[in-house]
Amino acid sequence: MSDRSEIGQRFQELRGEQVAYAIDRQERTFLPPAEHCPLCPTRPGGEPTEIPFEAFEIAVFDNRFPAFQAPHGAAEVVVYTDSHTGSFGTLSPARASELMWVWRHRYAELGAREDVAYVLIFENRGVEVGVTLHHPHGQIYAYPFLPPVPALELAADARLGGCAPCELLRRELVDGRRGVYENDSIVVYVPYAARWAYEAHAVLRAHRPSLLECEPGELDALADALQRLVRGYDALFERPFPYVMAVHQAPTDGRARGHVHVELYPPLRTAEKLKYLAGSEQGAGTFISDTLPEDSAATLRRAIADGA
Amino acid sequence: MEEHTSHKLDGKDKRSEHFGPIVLTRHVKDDGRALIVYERTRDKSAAAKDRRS
Repeated sequence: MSDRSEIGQRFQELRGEQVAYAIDRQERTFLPPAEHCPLCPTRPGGEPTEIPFEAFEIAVFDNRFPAFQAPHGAAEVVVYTDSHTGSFGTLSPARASELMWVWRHRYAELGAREDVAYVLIFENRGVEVGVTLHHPHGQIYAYPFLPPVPALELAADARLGGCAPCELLRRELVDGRRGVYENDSIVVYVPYAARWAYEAHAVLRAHRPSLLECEPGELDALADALQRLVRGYDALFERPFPYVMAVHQAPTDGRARGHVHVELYPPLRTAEKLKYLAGSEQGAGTFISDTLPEDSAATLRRAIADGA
Repeated sequence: MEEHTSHKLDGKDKRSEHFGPIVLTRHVKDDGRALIVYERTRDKSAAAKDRRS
């Protein structure tokens, strides 16, 4: 029997990283049928759900099976709509913009906590990336430490002599071959060294450390860009396109550095074939890609036009 | 599949706050977990129209 005092984080010395243990998550609900969806509203006479109202717009609640919880962080579920069907891409523009404000609110509130060093807002879409509930939703993890990826982004700032996302955006705009969508405030591109075949980054044109510094119009523009991108994904192979969507913002541990950008990692490399993290990726940490980012971007541009 | 037991509210600590163009209402579930419900502040007819989006 495990000693529950050992649950939490352990430092993996060889990787120099924290590993979080959340053994209760083994019991979490796994792909229930729609009539038992815990993220649907609670209908009169129906089965109680996580949200005890007949209708709602957006709801956020503490994850019943948290990877992190106070006083060592937090784990929340963000339900985008009370409709069981649809996706982030099919939300109305007004609802998608509202979601940006919810993200901003959660970043502000969780980031202000003493036990939170980094707030990651993300969405896993599709069973290919481990989704256990189909109802449109995302999640928020508030880490009690700075995780490796944002730490690497801070290191990139130091290596490039300033804000790395600002510099990379400048390079992408000069190059021009990997851009897939732009509006007044956001540029979406397949990064120069994409690890996934159809990886894309949506980056604020203006330097904004977090969603808190964004103008209202920039939040609307971010919602627009992300929705167009994911609808383009769905149009690409004419099927629901799995992805991980991660909102990167400034750490909340007192460092003011960061630049809002949203990274999407889709595991599909063709309509039927998944990219697996295998020997090189897991054993050495080096991604092997069989698709050039410039070619992916050209394909994705056409798909976004088709999905508009 | 694991049964989802009741997640009622505890009937306390309900309050609404404004945050930019949204209004949020905080609740506490009977198991102590927080629940926040968000709505965009706008006229009722627009809210009803968007509710199902």
